[in-house]
Amino acid sequence: MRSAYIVFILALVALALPLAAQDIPTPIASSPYVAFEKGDGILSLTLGTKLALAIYDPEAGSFVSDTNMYPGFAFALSYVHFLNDNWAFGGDLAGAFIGTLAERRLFMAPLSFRFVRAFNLDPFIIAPTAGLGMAILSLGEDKHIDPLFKFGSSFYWRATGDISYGLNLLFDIVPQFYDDSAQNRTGFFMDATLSVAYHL
Amino acid sequence: MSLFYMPYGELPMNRKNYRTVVLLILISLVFMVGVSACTDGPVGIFASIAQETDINASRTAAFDGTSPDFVGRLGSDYYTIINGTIWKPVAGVWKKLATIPPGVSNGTASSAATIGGATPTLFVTFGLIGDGTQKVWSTINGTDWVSVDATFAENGQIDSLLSANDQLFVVTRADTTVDSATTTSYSVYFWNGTSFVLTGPGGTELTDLSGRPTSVAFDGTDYWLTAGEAIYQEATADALVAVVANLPDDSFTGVTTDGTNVIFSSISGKLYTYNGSGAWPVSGVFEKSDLPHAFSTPTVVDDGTNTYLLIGTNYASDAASASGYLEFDISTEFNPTTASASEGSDFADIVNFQTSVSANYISKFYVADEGAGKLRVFALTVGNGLWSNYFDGTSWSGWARE
Repeated sequence: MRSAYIVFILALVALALPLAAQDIPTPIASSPYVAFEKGDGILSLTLGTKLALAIYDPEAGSFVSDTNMYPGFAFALSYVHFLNDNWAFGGDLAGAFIGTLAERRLFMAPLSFRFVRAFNLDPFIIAPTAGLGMAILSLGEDKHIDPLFKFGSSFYWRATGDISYGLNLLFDIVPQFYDDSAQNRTGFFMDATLSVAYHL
Repeated sequence: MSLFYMPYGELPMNRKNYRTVVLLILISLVFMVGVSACTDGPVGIFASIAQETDINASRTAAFDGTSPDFVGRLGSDYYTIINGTIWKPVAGVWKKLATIPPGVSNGTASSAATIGGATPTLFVTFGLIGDGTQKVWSTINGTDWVSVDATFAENGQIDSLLSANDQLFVVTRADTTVDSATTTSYSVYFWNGTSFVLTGPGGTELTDLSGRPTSVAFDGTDYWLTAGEAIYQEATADALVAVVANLPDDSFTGVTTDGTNVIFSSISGKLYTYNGSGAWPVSGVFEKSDLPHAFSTPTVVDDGTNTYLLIGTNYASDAASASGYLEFDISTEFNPTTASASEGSDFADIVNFQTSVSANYISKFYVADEGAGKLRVFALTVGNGLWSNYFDGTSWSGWARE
């Protein structure tokens, strides 16, 4: 009788194990899919156009009527490092050449540190970003280094586990300050660029 | 959720990450602030761009890449010589001059000068069909040409025409080659209204000069002429004599005057004045990348409010690269010993200089008084065509291509 009882208990356990296995999943099976996790990185190469949207004259308190700048060529090498599943911090080494009405060429090198918030919509990723930095500007023999505020968003399509292709719409705000305050202006720019990104 | 709003319970980063991020932000802020105000120039970059004007609105495609030899004004018409051809605006558009003297070849105009007086006249040198010998012709309307026939006994090949105070000078030259080394000698003739005569007192006429005469000016009393390492001066145009007292050891490229100062430029990047008592105040060397600027002839522009001195940076071997022109506000005085290279900081507005001609060699300027307080300044570049800047009595238009 006692052995029959034991057999009965074992049979119940045997029957219950598969159910238990389903009700109490292993850690691997239970983890939701995440596009990124802490320690991941994205290294991206970006090419595209840089548009001068406006120039603000703080002394006049108004925007100038025309930026006198043509669409330029923009490029960037960027890296962001994921601090957790959603947040990343990184920076850009970027540059742009912009032609002007009087046939001059403005070179602009916006260097920035920025936060990125990644929203995973597998296989797409939306990554709004904002940051600070500096813009090195050169126009003929005039050179100046100015603060830079950058914000915008990237839209990635994760083609493979390692490679994504992205569309970036980023805005630069570059206030220029001079000893002669009459020369102060703030430039507003937009980058419309395409990226190829490698997931590290 | 706001990008930077992170309630404690949702804290996405651990403490170590926070420290890293904060440190990076601080580094970037310090770097950003530290470098932002340390490289002031005379002009704001965005401010400069915003003030640009269309420099090609009146561009003449045929002038692209050229080095004009001359610009002058006869009556209300301008004339320029580019690649040996005379051009004149017709209804605001530069056109090749319809009529040139008979017996001369197209494309052989090499030098010109205008004089005013009772009968304003344009003098031009053309090459004859056949042997190409340069001859002087004159016109009072750009259509009818008169041969100013002359034979120059000394250094008899015409080099260039110069004028000042409605007086015309002809520079002639002769090349002598000995053992494949060529030396050039120059003479200076003065047009007395009837014929060309050597200038200078009898026995010391300006012949066989080793330096090329490049510029002549009249200060209200005396004529001044620069020719290499020599300067000539006299109250009458037909009697120029060499200035020898304490003459600086330099090679002079031009002379101008504002009526008070007589200002000289040199190929070694220096500016001089003559104070009338044998002293020659001199500037330091204007240079770029440790090479001196080879100055072209200085030019004075008086817009009724301010008086400016412009000095083009010309091309020369072993000289600094193109830098447009230097400019000084000499409304009160010009003292070369205290002059500084404040390039383009005053003329018209700073953008005019910065946007257009700052990267060009300028061989000379020409200033035309159009009356009623209006001026037009032409810049003859080396290899980048003809530029002008118009003063309407109130403000300058900015440099633009012709």
